[in-house]
Amino acid sequence: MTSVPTPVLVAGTASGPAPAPAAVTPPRTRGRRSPVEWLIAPAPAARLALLRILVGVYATAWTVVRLPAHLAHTDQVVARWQPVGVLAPLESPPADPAILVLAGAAPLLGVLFVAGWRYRAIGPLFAVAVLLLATLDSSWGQVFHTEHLLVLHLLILAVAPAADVLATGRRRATPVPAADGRYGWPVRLAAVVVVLTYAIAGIAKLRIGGLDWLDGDTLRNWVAHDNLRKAVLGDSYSPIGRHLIRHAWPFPPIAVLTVIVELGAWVALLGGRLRTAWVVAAWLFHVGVLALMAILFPYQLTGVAFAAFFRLERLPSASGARRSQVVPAPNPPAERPEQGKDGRPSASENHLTDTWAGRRERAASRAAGCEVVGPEDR
Amino acid sequence: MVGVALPGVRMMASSDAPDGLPLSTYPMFAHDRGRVVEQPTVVAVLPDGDIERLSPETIAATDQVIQAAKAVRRALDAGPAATRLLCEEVAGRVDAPAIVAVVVERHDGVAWSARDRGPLERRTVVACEARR
Repeated sequence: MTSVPTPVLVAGTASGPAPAPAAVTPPRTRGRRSPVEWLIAPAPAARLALLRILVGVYATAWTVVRLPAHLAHTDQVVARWQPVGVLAPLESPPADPAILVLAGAAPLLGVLFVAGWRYRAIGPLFAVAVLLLATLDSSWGQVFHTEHLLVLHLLILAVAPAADVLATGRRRATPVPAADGRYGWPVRLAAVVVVLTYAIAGIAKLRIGGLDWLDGDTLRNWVAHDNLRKAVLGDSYSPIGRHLIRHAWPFPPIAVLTVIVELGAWVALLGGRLRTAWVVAAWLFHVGVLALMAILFPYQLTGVAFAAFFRLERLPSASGARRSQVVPAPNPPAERPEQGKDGRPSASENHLTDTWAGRRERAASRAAGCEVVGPEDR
Repeated sequence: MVGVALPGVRMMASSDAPDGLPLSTYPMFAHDRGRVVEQPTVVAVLPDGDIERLSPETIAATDQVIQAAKAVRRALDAGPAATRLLCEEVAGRVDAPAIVAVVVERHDGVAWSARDRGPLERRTVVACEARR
């Protein structure tokens, strides 16, 4: 008996024209996919759009909360100008009016970014605005490491079609686009960037500090130094950290766990429980940093930094939003996706309706190991 | 992708790679600072001799402690004239009868945490009178 290859079911196939046969990916097992195939595997437009909204809401809040600090750059002593990144070529700080316009416009751009309004222009504008503001913050003698991931995620989203759904200004009759690689790669690239960020930090510790870093002395001295510096310079420090550095024994395990979380970040790309476990571990790592050194990484602690690892379109609130986006496909009957016997859409039809039949077929396909999935798909 | 990522990661993690934004080597906490550290700062010496710590806002018109620390260190590195300028700048923000002093303190971090918050040593580089 000749076995018939099972067609690959793309997680989250959206409404609109049925996928052409040529677009159907041959059956493959997860382990045999190349990194590029994995990166460009199809994903629903809603996932990317929800990532835009989550990151955009956070970034907009950041531009509002930091507005006084951004405006205060106009009062900085010019002699302290130590530009980094895209501002490195500037020998002096940007002119005050430029700083005021940038700081004032950023929150407004952020609102439009979240709304997805005229996204092709607003997306890059907002990403560049946040890049400039974050770089400006770090150009006075201290590079902040709290906004790197946010900026990188915004830059990825800026060049991605992240407002094809869940966006204002779109005509209601526009059909929801089918799941596609162009919606998949930005989300997975955002996840890869998170992994690389932690991996680089872990590698730097071992490369610079060597294996001695794991004995905990370096970490203990840093916790002591960081809290001491805050106390000496009249700032608030962590009483927990100050208490803990009296004891040597907690620091070797903390140091080892830190490096395990950082170097083990790649497991998040495997999806499933490993991903979830790593995200929880990374979140706890930042809770530890806050507790020991009073250093806040809000992008990570709010969880937004890790959103790219998950199927955002499965969020309960997103489901309602997705359904409201679904419009009758304008296709003639011959081109419409096939229907089940009872009229329910089949799994190859619009996943956004997320029917029982679709879920059942996708589950069966997943069990057969032939679904194109990313880390967020498991 | 792997061919691009691996050399990139290697370069970013090298000890002499620059720290920046949005790309960083994340070098923080990698170097061992040692248990005893020198910390420059600016303090106010009150008429009764008590030392009052000044905030980053007062020292360098910033809410960031490391930027304030860098501002003091840069002034010290730039020489006596720059240090005096910093002292007078800070004195202009202190609204109390006090002597403002740019100092370099040596601290044992672990000892500081255990009992004594005072420095092992405090060296005054420049002092100036606060305006009221």
